[in-house]
Amino acid sequence: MAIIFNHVTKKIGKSIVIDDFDIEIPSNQITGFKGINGSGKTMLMRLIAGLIYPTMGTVSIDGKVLGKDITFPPSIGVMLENPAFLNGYTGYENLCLLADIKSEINADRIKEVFNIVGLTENMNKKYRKYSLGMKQRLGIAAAIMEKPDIVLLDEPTNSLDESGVEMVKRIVRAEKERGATVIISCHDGEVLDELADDVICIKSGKITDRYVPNESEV
Amino acid sequence: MKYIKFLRFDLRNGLLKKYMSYIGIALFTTIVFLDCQSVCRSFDTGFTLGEYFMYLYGGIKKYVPTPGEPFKVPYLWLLNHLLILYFTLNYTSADLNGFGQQTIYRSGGRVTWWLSKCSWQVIAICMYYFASWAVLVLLAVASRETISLEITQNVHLYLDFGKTLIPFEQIDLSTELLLLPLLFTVSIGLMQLTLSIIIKPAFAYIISATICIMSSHTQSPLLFGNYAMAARCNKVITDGMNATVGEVSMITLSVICVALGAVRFRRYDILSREE
Repeated sequence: MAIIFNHVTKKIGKSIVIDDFDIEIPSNQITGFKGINGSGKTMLMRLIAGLIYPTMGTVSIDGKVLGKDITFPPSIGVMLENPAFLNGYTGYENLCLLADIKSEINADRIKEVFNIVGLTENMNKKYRKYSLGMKQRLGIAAAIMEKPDIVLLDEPTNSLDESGVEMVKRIVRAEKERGATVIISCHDGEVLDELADDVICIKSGKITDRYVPNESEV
Repeated sequence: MKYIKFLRFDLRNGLLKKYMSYIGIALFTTIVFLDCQSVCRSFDTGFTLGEYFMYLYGGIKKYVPTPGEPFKVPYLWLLNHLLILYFTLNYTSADLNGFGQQTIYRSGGRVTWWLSKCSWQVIAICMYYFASWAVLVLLAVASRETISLEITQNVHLYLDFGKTLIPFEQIDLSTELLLLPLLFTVSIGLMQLTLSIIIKPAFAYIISATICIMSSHTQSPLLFGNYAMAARCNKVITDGMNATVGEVSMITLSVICVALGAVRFRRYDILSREE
């Protein structure tokens, strides 16, 4: 699932949050968006997910223009920064509610992703009782559970301890292995350089650099 | 299929989990009932169930600004609409800023999601009305009032029509006089829902409240609240506002709001509250 940004500009109110973004994100690789808070990483994620549409230009998923040919990418898993779930339900019930919409996966798969993100022991705990790290893990579980073709992870290492960060790395690699196109945004350059096949640096909604990490070491 | 799944989700989260708001409606209806009963006692007479409904939905007669005659705010009529509109104000925008962001992209279409929210809005308003009616019936039964929708001469004790009433036997409270307030809240509720994706929900509520207040102050066919007041309706007074015109107008407004909302929502930016 190749993603093409064709001279995309996005304005929110009067401010330009994405400025003439013109790139292609190849399929089946890990692409990293690097930039400080407020640089436009989350907006790029929202554009790819079809949650917002460009003010100018187009975003295409496998040749289909979002907002014109398709409303949302047909197979996508999204974890936006600070994922929101329903407080009155358990983690397991939250994922069941989401899984029920597409009806592509069963209870076994949901339990499997709880295991992958290390939340099995807490899956029957109410979401309101989850710690920040557990909430983050649940967000990642929701994004990957349906084995989507595109996986968007916005600041997935936020609130996670060392073992959590290692878990994120494992998951991201496994998703690539499975054949997914993974896009990960992070302000932590080290994590991105370790994981990504391609890193795009963003500042004030503009591309400032693009590089292949560890290229010189190869 | 996805519409049904969304609606089921909305009914579960937006109705069943909102039990506190039902307690609010029950409390409000109980206060209305007791207030009506105190009026009834002061005149040493009994009321029918229909008259309790009339007490709540009657509103006020047409206001003509006259020196020495200040505008009397129809508190009960206003509160009934404003409470229900308030209880249904935040569900959609809160969902869109939170969990809804995870459900909507799984739906494959924005219009499905929007139609589910509109359906929820209508069902939620109906449920609040049904709850209010149920409380009135229960209290009337408990107080051994006459369980009848008939309107009697007592109507003059609590409602100043200022005009000639049509013969009592011709007043059919069970249909239009009960349905018009419901239809009004539904149409304004759908307008409020549509506005809440264009402007902030709080501003949408201010507009709804303004329409309700203006409707009680000014008699105009464009202020649909007028149709929802029994004291201004041609089913009760001889030259009142045409109830059928009111029904058609409010249904038209509802359909327009749903359609406009669908058009707007197709290009709506789904952002988090902080963004």
